Amino acid sequence: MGGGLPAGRGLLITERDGKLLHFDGEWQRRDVAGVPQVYASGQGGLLDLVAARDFAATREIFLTYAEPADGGARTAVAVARLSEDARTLDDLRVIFRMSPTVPGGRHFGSRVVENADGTIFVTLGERGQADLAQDVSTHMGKVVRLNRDGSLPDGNPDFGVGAAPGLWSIGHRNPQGAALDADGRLWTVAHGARGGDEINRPEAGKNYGWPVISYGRAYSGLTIGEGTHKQGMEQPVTYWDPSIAPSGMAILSGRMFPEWEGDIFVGSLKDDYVSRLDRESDRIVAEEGLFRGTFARIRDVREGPDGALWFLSEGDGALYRVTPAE
Amino acid sequence: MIRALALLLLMAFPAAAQTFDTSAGRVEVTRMAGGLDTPWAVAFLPGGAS
Repeated sequence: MGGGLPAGRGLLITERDGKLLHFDGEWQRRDVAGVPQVYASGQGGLLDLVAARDFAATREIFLTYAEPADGGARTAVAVARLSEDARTLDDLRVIFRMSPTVPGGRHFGSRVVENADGTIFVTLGERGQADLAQDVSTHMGKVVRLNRDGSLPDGNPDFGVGAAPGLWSIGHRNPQGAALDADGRLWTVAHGARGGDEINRPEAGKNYGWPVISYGRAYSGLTIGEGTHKQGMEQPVTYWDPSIAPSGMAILSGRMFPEWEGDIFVGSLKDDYVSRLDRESDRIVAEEGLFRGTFARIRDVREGPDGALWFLSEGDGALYRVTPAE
Repeated sequence: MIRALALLLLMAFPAAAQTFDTSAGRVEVTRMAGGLDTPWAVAFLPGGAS
């Protein structure tokens, strides 16, 4: 097909059932061997990936996936080296495993982003066990910050004695989108229940409220928790009610779309559109629904190397690139 | 059969783009790859050989 990728570069795509695909600069597609065994059931499987900032030197990528384990499954993070011919993942190291393992296929998260200081953020769903999102002895419903070898970095907040290792923020439901803004600050998007999908800007040590406060209702129609506000719990930057089922997030640099510099783009699985959230610093001032109803189940949204907007449609089984029309 | 036909069409018109009016002007959405089975994430590989 050609076009869109700088010469000599390529991209990787995960398929949830556990396949990793490599496309070279000429769009030749090949399977990459060496993917860890995944728990491909419900929402579980091979999930997120990102190339390390120093990929050109190290060939390292970060993967997140649902890992089968005694008692069910857990979200895991691995680092591996993509071979020079992009045929295999070598030297795979599992650097994080969610604790505890629970049964079922719901709410694994997850997204991984690498910070400029070499640490990574990983977003973790609460595995369908809402109350555990408030339990700091578990990784459910948390954002964790780790070194690239899985060790704990300096500067993580203190959640007290018995806290699970690596916690950055708590009280998330099922964050399936994450991105850094130009100032290096983390933004996330999470699925709510019936209503209450949230955009947050998770800060160290803070509690984002699930399931104590929420703008959603349970699927039964009953209210959740204590309402929408509580002292000591953060309000979302913005929320959707009814839900759009958000997954995937990008914050554009403006290199190709100056009008959209710094705006947040989120894929909707349910309403088949890409949401553009017009951002002014810490606030969202408007939403624009792009391509509404045209592409089915938007699962991931990214900025390409040249500043173009790219997205994956799960329903179409396709990758799309958005550029200014000529 | 339908799948094969779809693939054939895809190969015949690889860069079929759709256009949309947006707040950033008219944009083109081009299908770059198809035939993916429940894709979850895409990552660009910076620099390097491939």
